[in-house]
Amino acid sequence: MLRYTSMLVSGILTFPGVQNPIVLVAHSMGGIVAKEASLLRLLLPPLCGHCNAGLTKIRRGAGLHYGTTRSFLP
Amino acid sequence: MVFLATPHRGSDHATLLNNILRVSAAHGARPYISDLERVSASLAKVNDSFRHYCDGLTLYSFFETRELSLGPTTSALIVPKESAIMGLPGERVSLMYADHRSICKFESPDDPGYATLTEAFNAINKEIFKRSKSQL
Repeated sequence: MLRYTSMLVSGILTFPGVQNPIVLVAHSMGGIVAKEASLLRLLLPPLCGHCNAGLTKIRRGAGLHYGTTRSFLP
Repeated sequence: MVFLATPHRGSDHATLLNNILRVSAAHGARPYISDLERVSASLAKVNDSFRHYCDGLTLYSFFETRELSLGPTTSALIVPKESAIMGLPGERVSLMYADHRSICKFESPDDPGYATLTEAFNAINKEIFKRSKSQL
C-alpha cells in the first residue's frame, strides 16, 4: 500500500522530553504520504522520505528536522 | 499533522503534467501522478480510510492563495482551496499568501507565512504539553 514512501515528507518537528512528540509537516504530495503512512499505523513515521533520517535519530531529538535547506527555516 | 497545500482531492494539473510526460520520450506517464488526478480512486480510498484513523491527531491544513507562474503568460493555483482541505471534524484550516512552491519556503522570519506556521507550531506545542501533563 505504501506507494508513496519515496516522495517528499518535508519536515518533522520534535518536542524534547514529551512522549509522542513528533509533528509531521508535509508539503503537497508529502501530505498523501503522511496520510497513507498513518493508515498503517506507521505514524510516527519510520523515515523521513526526503533525507532518510530514521525514527531512532528523530527520537533522539533531531529538533526541527527539515528536508531541504530552504524549507521552513529562512 | 500539518498539511501545506496537499492535494487531498487531487489537482487538475496532475492530468496536465501526466499528458506532458506521456508525450515526452524520456519520461512517460507516472502512475503516482495519475493518482493525484481529480477523480482518483486511490485518493478517495486514502481519504476514506484516513477519517477512521485520525482521531487524536491534531490536523492543520494550509492552502495557497497565489497562482504559481507556469510560463511567461501562464499562472495557476496548483492545489485549490477545495482540494487542500479534508473537511474533517477538528481540522484547522488557514490560508497562506503564497504560491504552491513558496508555501513551505520562507524568505525571512518576517515572512507572514512563516509567522502563520510558527503560530500553528506554538498551538500544537501547547496542546502536546497539555496532553502530556494530563497523562502524568
